[in-house]
Amino acid sequence: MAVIEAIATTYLEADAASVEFTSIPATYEHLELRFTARGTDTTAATYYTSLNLQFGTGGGAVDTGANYSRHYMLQAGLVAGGNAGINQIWLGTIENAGSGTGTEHVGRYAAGQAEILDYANANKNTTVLGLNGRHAYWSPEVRFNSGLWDATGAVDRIKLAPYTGSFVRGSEFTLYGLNSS
Amino acid sequence: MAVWNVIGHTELSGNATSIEFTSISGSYDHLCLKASLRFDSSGQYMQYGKLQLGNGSADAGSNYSVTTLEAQSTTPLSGRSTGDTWMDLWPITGPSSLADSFSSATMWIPNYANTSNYKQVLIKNVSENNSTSSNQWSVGVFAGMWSSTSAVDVVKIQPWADNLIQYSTVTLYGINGV
Repeated sequence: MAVIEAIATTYLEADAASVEFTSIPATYEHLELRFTARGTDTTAATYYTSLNLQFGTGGGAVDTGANYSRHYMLQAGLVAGGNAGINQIWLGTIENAGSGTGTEHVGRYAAGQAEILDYANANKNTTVLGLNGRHAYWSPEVRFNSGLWDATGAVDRIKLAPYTGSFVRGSEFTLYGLNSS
Repeated sequence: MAVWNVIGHTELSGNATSIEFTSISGSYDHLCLKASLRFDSSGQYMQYGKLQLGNGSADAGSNYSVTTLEAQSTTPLSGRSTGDTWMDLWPITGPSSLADSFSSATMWIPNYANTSNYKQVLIKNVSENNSTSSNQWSVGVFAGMWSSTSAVDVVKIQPWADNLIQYSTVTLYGINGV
């Protein structure tokens, strides 16, 4: 049995409001998510949007309640900062179509990685540890993210969606499982 | 030959002062640890974790240093500590944080078995909490060094002064190259 196994990959052949991984088995010790993504929002001067993450358990839909929190530190342009928030987990930011239409803009997909340790342990809330880069034409940034889901159920569903708009065609998401024996 | 290999996995069945892996084979290229930890001392949101390496036993000498970039508020801070008896400054979640919440860390120890170089450690760590108040949460990256050319065959993790609680887990992986 391989230590790291690909559970699923979603490559968007068309724009989509969200991506969901469902029926995630509880047989792994840790999960890891890797993505490249871009948003459709064409609102003027909306260069980027946050990438939201929600979890589900017990075979049901993802939890849309106010049971999440997030923190990050970032370097945006030449400015460093940190931030704390509740009710959402952000895996970072993705470039939007609103950043511009020229060739210097349209090919820029943000990249990111997130680890979800001990995701099936019924004695622990779910914690996310993530890294995200958005090498944008305007306001490029790198973020180190954390997130918390206040629920101890084993994670069997993960939903990713832009805070505004949809993902554009060509966005890709892969979920891996890591074994511990 | 598999690239990733499980060397060991520990989940605490009760509170314990530390989680330690010993007699680690030198046959891999790199080590990687994934730790989900919480400590038991009341009245604290976070407490520094301590990482010690060793050959035969965990080295408790003043042979460690650590450099940090961390946010516990809207202003990230850098830090540096040398001549220490452990690598610390990476926070573990404690009892004042939301119940059932554990810190998460990934630690890499590249080229751990070589006998020519000091050993470098790279740590990504988050101590989550459902709080927007400063110093009640942490996200950070930490670079550590063990000033020894001995091959690493012991890795020891513990909180600064208290116990790890039940359900704390650490998985140790050995990573192969070509």
